[in-house]
Amino acid sequence: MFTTEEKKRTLQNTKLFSAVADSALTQVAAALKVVTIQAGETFIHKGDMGTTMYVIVAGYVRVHDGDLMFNYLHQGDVVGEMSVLDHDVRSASVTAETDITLFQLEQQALYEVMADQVDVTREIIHVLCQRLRGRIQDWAADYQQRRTLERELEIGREIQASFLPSQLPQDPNWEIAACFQAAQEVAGDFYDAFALPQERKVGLVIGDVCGKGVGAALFMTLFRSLVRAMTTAEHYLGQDQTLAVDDFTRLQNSLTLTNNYIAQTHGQTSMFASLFLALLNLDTGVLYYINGGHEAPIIFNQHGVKAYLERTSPAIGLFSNMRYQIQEAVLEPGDTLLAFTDGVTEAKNSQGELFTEERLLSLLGGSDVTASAFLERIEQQLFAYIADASRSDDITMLVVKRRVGS
Amino acid sequence: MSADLQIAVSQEQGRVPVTVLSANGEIGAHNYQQLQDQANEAIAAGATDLLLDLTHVSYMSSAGLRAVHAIYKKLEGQPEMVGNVPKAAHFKLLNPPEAVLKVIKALGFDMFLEIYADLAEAVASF
Repeated sequence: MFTTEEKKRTLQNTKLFSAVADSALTQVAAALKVVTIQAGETFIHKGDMGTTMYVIVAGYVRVHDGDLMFNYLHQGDVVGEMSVLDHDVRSASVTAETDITLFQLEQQALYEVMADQVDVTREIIHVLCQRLRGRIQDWAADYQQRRTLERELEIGREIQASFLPSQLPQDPNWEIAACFQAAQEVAGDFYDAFALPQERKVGLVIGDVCGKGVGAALFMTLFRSLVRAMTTAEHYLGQDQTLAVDDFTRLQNSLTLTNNYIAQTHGQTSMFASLFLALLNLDTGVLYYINGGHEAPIIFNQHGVKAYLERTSPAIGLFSNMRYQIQEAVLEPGDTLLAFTDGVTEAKNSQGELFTEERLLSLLGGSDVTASAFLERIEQQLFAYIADASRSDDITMLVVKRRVGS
Repeated sequence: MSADLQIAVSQEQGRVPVTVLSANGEIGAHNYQQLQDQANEAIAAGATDLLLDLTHVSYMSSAGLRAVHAIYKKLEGQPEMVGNVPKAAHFKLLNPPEAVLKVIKALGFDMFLEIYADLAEAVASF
């Protein structure tokens, strides 16, 4: 279908051979084979060994890796030259977008032409350089885009940090300490501890929004804000306002509003959080709490575990018509409350083994004088266990200790 | 279709026809949508009672439970309150392995979803 003269004329219109002398073109034309391929057919498969390169004579092709699209190549372009030159597997697949006509050149024939015709060799190097330049430009653009995204995430991380308490309530008879380590830039875990206005009580919160990343982080800010604002509503209404509600009503209102708001306003996203919310009376040590599908916080003293504050309802945000039961516990002098997220018990070492609740329990008790000393000891053990293993989940702990003799 | 999750759909007949979604693999943040889509497809095709067979699910994260929650919401119009929770009547779970059951229980999903160990018993419960 192509005479030698037609092949030569066609080659002269390609980038690779446009500068090649007539005598050389005759040699190339004699060595190549004309191939036609139907639209949709993949004629170069990634990973295959390749011993042929092609010049596109008519139609155009898509260079890709599965669904990942790299480039379109058109009439006059060369494709498949890399494997032929470096004896390696095809680096991408090539599929005909239209019915196409190709000039196919075998490795051996190409080498012979390159040995004889320095112009061809020069042009092949030229094509490779052009491809490399294109790649470098792509990389630079990708890198720039990645930097921009990283900066945005960093800003997100800084802003999210302001959704955690900047300082914890202080009291002569109590000590509160917390640890928070996000697995990624932004986190789905959260904790809070805040004094109630006009009362010697503190609100304690720990939660874990389902999923990870930016989505979980957005909901973390929502859950935390709703719970904080609702539990201390008078504070935000003004100092002279009093809601005059008892602890039960306060807890119930706070969680009912948070739950209904999320379930009704964001129901379509099916986002929810495990959440433990408690009100602690600093004078009596009485703790009223709701545990919405969260790991049971533990009350212990130097002799061991005294109580697990087991879940009292499913996670928060699932459905709007939930009713919340409030439970009661007491922290006596010398008692410590440890609340944590599953990032602690499910932290993995480099062998992929979990830290486990058993290991956490084995670290309770002891004679730590302060909450922060206890927390420091747990953190040391936990992070030594994780060592260099990659973090897959946020790690959060909240510790409240009632001082001995208080 | 994610390589680490396959979902087969079959029909069982109890007092009512029950559509069984049998998941095989892992359900997490990257593919929970696949489970949700498959359930939506079954519901669009007329399924009103759905059993999610978790026998061959080796891992499910809290993100995976987002799909479970979305299916619950789609199937349960006005669920009856049992105690303090709106209990599901048209969506149930079958045979979650221990690791998966742990996540389900941790987040309290067992408080509103019935979990069965036996297919025949599960189908008969609808």
